[in-house]
Amino acid sequence: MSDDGRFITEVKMVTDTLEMEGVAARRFQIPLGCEDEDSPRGDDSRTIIGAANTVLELGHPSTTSICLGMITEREDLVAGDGVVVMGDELYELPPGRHSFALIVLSKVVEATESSRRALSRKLSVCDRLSGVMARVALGKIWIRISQEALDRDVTLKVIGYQLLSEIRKEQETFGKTEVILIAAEKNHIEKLRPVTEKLARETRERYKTEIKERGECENGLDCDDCPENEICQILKDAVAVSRKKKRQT
Amino acid sequence: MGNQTVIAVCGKGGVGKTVFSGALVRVLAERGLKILAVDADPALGLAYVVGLPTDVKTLGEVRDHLIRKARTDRDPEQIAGMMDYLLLEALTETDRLSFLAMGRSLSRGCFCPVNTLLKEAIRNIAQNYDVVLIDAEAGIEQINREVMSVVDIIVVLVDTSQRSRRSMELIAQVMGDLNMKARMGVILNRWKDLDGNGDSAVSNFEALSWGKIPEDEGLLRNDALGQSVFDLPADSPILESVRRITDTLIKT
Repeated sequence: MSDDGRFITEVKMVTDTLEMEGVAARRFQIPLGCEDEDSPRGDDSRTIIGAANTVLELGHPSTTSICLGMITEREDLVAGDGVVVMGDELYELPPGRHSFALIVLSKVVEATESSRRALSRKLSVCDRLSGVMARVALGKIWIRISQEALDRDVTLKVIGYQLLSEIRKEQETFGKTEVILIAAEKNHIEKLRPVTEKLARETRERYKTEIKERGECENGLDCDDCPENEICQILKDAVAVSRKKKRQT
Repeated sequence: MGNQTVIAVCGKGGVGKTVFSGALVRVLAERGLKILAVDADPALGLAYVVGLPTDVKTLGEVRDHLIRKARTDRDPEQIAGMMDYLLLEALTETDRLSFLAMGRSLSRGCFCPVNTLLKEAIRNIAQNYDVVLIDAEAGIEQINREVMSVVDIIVVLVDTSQRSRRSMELIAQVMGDLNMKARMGVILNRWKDLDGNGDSAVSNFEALSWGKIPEDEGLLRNDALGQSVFDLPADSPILESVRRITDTLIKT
């Protein structure tokens, strides 16, 4: 069981606080099925948008970025299929780098590691929009928006639609889903950090238990503290020797 | 046949992966292809099905041997040098196929570098074959971790049960997790017409259907007599079905 109900409640408390502090929230309920027809679609390949073609960067590694995908079996914790845009829309932001958060809350049939991974895989699908690049790693997201995308009226709302419709394609796994996109000041985004860290810690612990149960690693993949570290180092050296020999032949 | 093809046979337990893999080995051998069969099931079911002895040296034992050597001799050069020797020792070669058994390692712990070493050695050996066929014990994550990182074709064997459908979905999810780009399709095994319900179950699968294999009494008889798939009559229903499936899987 890997229900994130507790963390979802915390995230909602943080977003409520942000609203009270003046970060505007716009809510869009999507008439599903037709929501992304107008979205300018790119292909499914992993687009790379170079710095020269980038107008806006959301969550660049030098700024603050948070990316959270959370699942719950509790119906009451997810308001309904919709997109919430908090802070500024893309057309309101000056060119440059901005702190950013993407949060997806999804009601699932069964809160398992498998459904959690399924949601994680979806988090970067917004780069299927033409002129948008997105990379997700370790609870962070980095989105590059080109002038081409802005000219085609790509907005955070459209990005949210895109994400929501991709998630809704897996209706056997996901029920109601809320997508929250926040482009705001660094100190606002940072308020989500404690939730991200607690969630990451819990996920890591679950994974450690899982691999321990499978007998793959007694030490929860903590190589630095593993009593077999020295033996592994010898084996690593053997791999290096073997590769060197292959290169020479 | 130009390029090598790596095929992994997956599916829930008891669905008939091993017998299908054996039949596929026979059909591929009939076509003159050089086959490396990898039995990823510690019970060595595939060895039995293709008529090989089950007391072969396994890769699990090779793994344990290397870890022991690292503990005692502590010499990376020596460990790297003995890798090919040990792997060739574990390779069973017949005029129809070559065979590697994964077995089970007794060394607790991940020892990831050994997996890397073994995978690289398997990849070198595999270069000499037209087809590498892996009979997977569990899911494709085990193959990815322990056998080969790149698989071209994933065959998911299913029956008409809903559990089969679930196992196929899980395999598709893991493929996504591991970023595997293989072609995936389903084969309906021990097919029975359940007043049309079987067909509707198949039409609900979201993967390509690569064919059906009927119940085969001859196969049960063969199994009861302890014979291998190479003892089956050439016109047995399972072999006929697998020949058709092979035409879809591999363009010779």
